[in-house]
Order: sequence, then structure tokens, then C-alpha cells
Amino acid sequence: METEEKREESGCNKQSKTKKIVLAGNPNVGKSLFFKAFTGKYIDVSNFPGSTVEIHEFKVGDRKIIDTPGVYALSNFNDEEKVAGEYILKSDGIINIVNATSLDRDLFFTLQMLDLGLNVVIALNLFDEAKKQNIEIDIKKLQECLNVPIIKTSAIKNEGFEEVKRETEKVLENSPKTCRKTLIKKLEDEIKNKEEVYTERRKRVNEIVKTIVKRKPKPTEKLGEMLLNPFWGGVFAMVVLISLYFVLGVLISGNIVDFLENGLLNKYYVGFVDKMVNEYIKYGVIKSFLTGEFGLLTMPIVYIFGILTPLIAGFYVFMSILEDSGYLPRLAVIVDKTLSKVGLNGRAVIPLILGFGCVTMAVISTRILGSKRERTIASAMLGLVVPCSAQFGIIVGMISNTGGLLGWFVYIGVLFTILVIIGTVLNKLLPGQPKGLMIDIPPMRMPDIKNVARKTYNKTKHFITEAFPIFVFGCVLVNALKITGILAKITEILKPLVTGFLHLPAEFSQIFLMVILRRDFAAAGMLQLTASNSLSFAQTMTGLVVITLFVPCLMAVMVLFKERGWKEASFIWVGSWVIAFTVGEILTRVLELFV
Amino acid sequence: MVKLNKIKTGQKAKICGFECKDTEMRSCIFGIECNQEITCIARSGAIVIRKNSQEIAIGENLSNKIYIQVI
Repeated sequence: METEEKREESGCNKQSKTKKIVLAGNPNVGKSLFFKAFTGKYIDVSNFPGSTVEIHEFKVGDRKIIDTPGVYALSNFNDEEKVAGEYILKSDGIINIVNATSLDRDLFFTLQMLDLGLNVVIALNLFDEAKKQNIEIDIKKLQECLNVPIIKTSAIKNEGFEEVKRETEKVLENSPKTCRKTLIKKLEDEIKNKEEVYTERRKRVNEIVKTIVKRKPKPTEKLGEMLLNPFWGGVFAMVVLISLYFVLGVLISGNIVDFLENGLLNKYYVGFVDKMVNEYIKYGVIKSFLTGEFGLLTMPIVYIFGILTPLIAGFYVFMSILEDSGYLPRLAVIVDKTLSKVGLNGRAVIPLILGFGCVTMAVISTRILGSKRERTIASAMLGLVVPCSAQFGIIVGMISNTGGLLGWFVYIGVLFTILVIIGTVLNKLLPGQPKGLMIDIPPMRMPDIKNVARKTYNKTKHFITEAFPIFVFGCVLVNALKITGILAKITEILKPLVTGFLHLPAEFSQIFLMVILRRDFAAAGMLQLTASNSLSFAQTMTGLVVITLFVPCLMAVMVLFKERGWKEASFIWVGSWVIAFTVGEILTRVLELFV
Repeated sequence: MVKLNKIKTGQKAKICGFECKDTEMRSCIFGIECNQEITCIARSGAIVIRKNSQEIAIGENLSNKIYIQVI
């Protein structure tokens, strides 16, 4: 009977030579480490529950290993579940990676795959972690309940992989594949009767866990609870976020980037390339194209290796430590209520804080948000309002020079108001509903340094590979605009807007154009004007607010196009013009009237 | 019977119902279902409950759609 069910007439008899092995499981269980063990490739790590929607595949002989997004079940609840479901239903065999410390959560998905009739091997991962937490699991009993191979693994210590491979091969050879159409029909039927099916399945999971798991109190329980306390949790969260800002925004963005960009790359690499180009190239236009301000041979190297790589590596070190320690979900809990008022949930705290270090980096980090809707809202806030450290340091100096607290009140008040308005409006206008927060809070644990280093290295490498072509394209575009004189024409067009609308000196038209290319250039340009005492208080504050609200820098725009698509990125870019000039106009009138 | 977002820290409760199917299904996956006993271990931004030895954070959008009976 089973054989008949598995070999239907509907065209499923054709068996492909390449067998698809899918890695499936809840978020944050270690699927990517299994991917590495099976393929030798360390691609991307699910860094926060529900973070990855990308699929990674790699062929090893006649086996294709597929890493899917972490999901709690297969349904049509979100993008991750839809994507994972597509690949799981097409698989020849599934390695279901289950977290041994949270069987009552993870086994739900396991039972669903078994109920559908998929060929499953269970890797009971984090087994060493379970031991540390005084959790005892009767594997023999579990095997009797589920009737599939179950192997104890510790992916971080490379333990158990060979046995998983052996058992998977046995399953591929001995268990025929259920026809995909049958699987789709079964899943559709299940979704139609979701309530009944899920309730029954939950009962079965509870019964199994009751039988096979014995627990004693966790050693880090008290620490974990303290970090969730409204007061102490809030204090610790402030310490973490301020540290994150200082490490990325001040230490790395300031000192390390300054050393790499100016002390090393500009001095030696750019100097060398300049010399070579001057020696061998005669035509000024080509020289400018290759080694000018946006030179093809210089700008991508300096920007990517001098500026972005240290920021990204620093970010991933921090993120990996927060992830591995189990702190990240606790931070999301503390800020969840506040962020839910603007259509986000607690997870969005990381990209928003990072925006103050580097908006480019922060836009990339919106990948950790669970839905497209949330990523859009967070990206819009970052692109439209948040000043990056490149300009923030200079802005701080200029506001301080205005004397008194009024400057701070105006600057922070305006930005905060715009941030809340954008979040609220997008929350109302975007289709869909905010996805409320519901996450597992893992126990606190000491981060594994090797794992942190490995995650950081691989993610940084992945970023550089993706970003390089984007920057090359950016250089070509800007140079083309310069050479054709279009850039100069745009400056002239902006002048009436600047003087008539914003009541700012004509020099600001060039400053605004510089914002498009690099924000610290713009801030530095404005610094020269304020130093000459030629600006009134109203003009200073209007200028500062407008350069903050104005378009994201070229790097951030390119990453926005990559992450959000051209429609959303264009909306943010055009929106920043409208918001910046409208707010500037209102602010200048108000300040001229009252100050 | 009250909503989960009204529970106090340290209070024990039993899940009684859900306002909508989506919330129920999502909760079910985490093992939060009718008659399940829970303890509130923190209220900070989101509600954090303990179910057996599993700790789950539930945001305001969802906790105001889950009904409980305080024990």
C-alpha cells in the first residue's frame, strides 16, 4: 500500500539522478553548520529567528544539498514558510535538525513532515548544550515513537555528521519518494483543517516530550530572568546599544576606518595607482575616470575595504556574540512595545541603532526582520531620517556651537517627529498587518569564540562579493554624469530651491549635491560656512535638518536598491527630497518667526 | 477570564481561548493551547511566559488576542 501511494501514475515515476537533500528545521538550530559539513561551503547563518529567506544549494557528486530558511511549520503564514515548503516538498530526503534543548517546540515541525510522508532523518543537535542545561532525553524511546533514524549531534563541535550522512544515504536508497502532487494535496488539506490538525499534533508532541524528556533547573536561569526584568533589562539594553554605537559608530567608523582609509589605502594604494595612471595614461578624462574622486580603480577599493569591511566585520562580531549568548531575543522583548507603535516589532532595534553608525550597514541588517512589510518600514526610517556617524560627529559639533540647548531640542525634536510620522504612516498604508512578536527565549550561554569568528569571516566575505559590482557600477554612473556636465547642471537647478524656498545661501546647492555622494563631505562643507559665522541660527538648524533628512548617500542608495528593489528604493529616494525640503521650508519659517 | 496582556509577573494562568484563528495557530506551534498552564516571568515590552521549561515572548499585538484564567 505504501509502495502504491508512493509511486503514483501522475508522472512521478521519473526519478532524477541527482538526489535532493534538504536541511530543514526551526530557526537557529544550526542548519548552516550542517550545510558546511556536507558541502564544505559556509554560506549564511540564520542569525535571528526567522531571518533568512535565501536558499543555498550545492551539488556534491549526485547529491544536491539545500539549506532552507528556519521555520516553525509549513503553511502560508510568511515568506519563509512558503519558500521552505516549496523545497521540502520537492526533496528526496530531509535532514531535520532539531534543537535538543527545545523539543517541545521543534518536534511540532518534525511531526508535520512525518505526517506528510516525507523521508526524514533527525539530527538531534545542541545535544551538548542540553547536557549543560541538565536536560535528559531518552533517544531510544523517541526513536520508537517517531520510527525514523535519530542521531545525536553537536554541529559546533563537528560531532555526529558522519552518522547523519550514513543514515541519510540509507534513507535515500531504501525509501521511495512520495509524489510531489500527493504531498501538495496533503499539505493543502492540512491547511484547510488547520485548527483540528494542529491541535491534535500539539497533543502528540506534548505526550512525546512528557515521556522522553527529564529536566532539572537551568544554571543560567536567574541571569536570563534578570535580563528580562523591565528595569535591569532596560539598563542592560541601554549599555548594549550604547556599546554597539560606540564600537561601530566611534571606534570602528572613526579610528579604524580613518586608519584604513586615509593612513593606508589613500596614502599607499591610491598614491601608487595615481602614479601609474599618470605615467601611462595621457587623456585627462580617462585619468579622471580611473583615479578621480570617483575613480573606478580607487573608489570601490577604498570604500569597500577601507570603510565598509571594518564596519561590517565589527557588526557581525557584535551580532554573533549577542546571538550566540542568547541575549538578542531578550533585547527584542524590551523594546517590542515601543516599536510596535510604528509597525515594527522588537527585532527592529538592531538595524535602527546601527543606522547611527552606518545607514548602509543598517539597511543590510534589516534582513533579520521577519516580513517584507517590516523591512520596508525600517529601511524607510533609515533612509529618510537616521544620520550616520559620518555626518553625525560634525553635526554634533555644529549644534554645540549654536550655544544652549535650543539647537539640540530643535534637531532631535524634528528628527524624532519625522521618524514617528514615517513609521505610523507606513504602518497605516502598507498592506498587511504587523506581525506581532512571538519568539522562543533561549537560555543564556557563553558565546563560542570560534563560532563568532567563523560567522564574522564568512558573512563579511559574502558581503564583499555582493557589494563590489554595485560600487563599480556607481563609479561609472557618477563619472558619466560629471563628464557630461549633467552634475553641474543639477547644481544650478537646485539653487532657486535652496535660496527661495529654504532661505539658505546659494552654496548649499553644492552641499546638498554632496550629500547624494557622501554625507560627511556635505557636513564638512557646511562646517566651513558655520565657521565663517555667516549663518544665522535658523539657517544653521535648517541646513542641519535638511542634510540629515536628505537622500541617503550613494553607498546606502545602492544597497537599498539591492535589498528593497527599485520601486521601494526609488520611493525612499524621491520621498527624501520631498520630506527634506518640506520640513526645511516649515522649519525655516518657524525659526525665523520665533527665534 | 482576562487577556494575556493583563497578567502580572509571577502569576500562573491557564490558556482559555484565542480571539482569532491565526493567533491560535501561531500559538499552537509554540505549544500555547487551551488548558495549557503558564507562568508570567516578565512584563517588559512584551509578555514573557514559561510553559513547562520553555520561555516564550509574546508581543502586545498577540497577547491581547489570547484569553487566560488566572490560577
